[in-house]
Amino acid sequence: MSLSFALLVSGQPCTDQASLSALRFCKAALDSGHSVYRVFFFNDGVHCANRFITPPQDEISVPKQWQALQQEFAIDLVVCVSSALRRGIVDAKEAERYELGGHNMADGFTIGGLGQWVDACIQADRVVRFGSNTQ
Amino acid sequence: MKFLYIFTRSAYGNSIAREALDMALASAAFDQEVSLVFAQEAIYQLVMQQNSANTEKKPHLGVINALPLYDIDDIYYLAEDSSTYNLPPAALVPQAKALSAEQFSSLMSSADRIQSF
Repeated sequence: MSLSFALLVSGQPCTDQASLSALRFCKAALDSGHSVYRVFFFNDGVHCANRFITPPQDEISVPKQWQALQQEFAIDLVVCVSSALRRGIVDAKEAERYELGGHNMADGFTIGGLGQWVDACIQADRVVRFGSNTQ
Repeated sequence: MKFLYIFTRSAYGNSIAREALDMALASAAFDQEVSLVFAQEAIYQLVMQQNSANTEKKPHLGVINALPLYDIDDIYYLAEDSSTYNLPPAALVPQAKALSAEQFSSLMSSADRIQSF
């Protein structure tokens, strides 16, 4: 049986294993013939879309991994607009609107509202959240 | 669709309390049937006497009191937490109702989507 998944990522990539677990889950689901309806980045999870994240060369770049997955499978990576603006994650359009003088959201991600997560919860067969409650 | 949100964080210590509540409001705005359970430390979100001035945060009670405007009437805390945290029903907002462990369990069984924050 093939299932569609809605994934919520609420852990930030440098301190929380959650976003890497989400990536691995996403890959495993797609490799097994399931589909991912949407990945929604919420709360501290929005940092996964920061293209300025520059880990040492022998460490994994979470934003680049999501980008690679997005390119391969055309999955919908949506960054929650209210979580993102609070944390300084902006695309070109938001940067222009708030006159921020620069933007840092990686290609492959799009900014969207909570309605898109509600829609994903309704449409997908399963909803899975990645993010610890303890941060 | 029945959405159940289970909150476990107090109002001002962590941004997830407010942001997850916004998610619940969005679910209700999209015409879903929303129930909220304020479990463990989240019971503090329901305390009637809150003063957020020293936290430099917006008062949390504003959103809690706005829940009925979004047609969210199923607002619960756990009876067990009420005694654990020494917060009797009279200390909590009147729109919140106590749930026994059995009632909590059946609420979870009847939900289509459960998310905890």
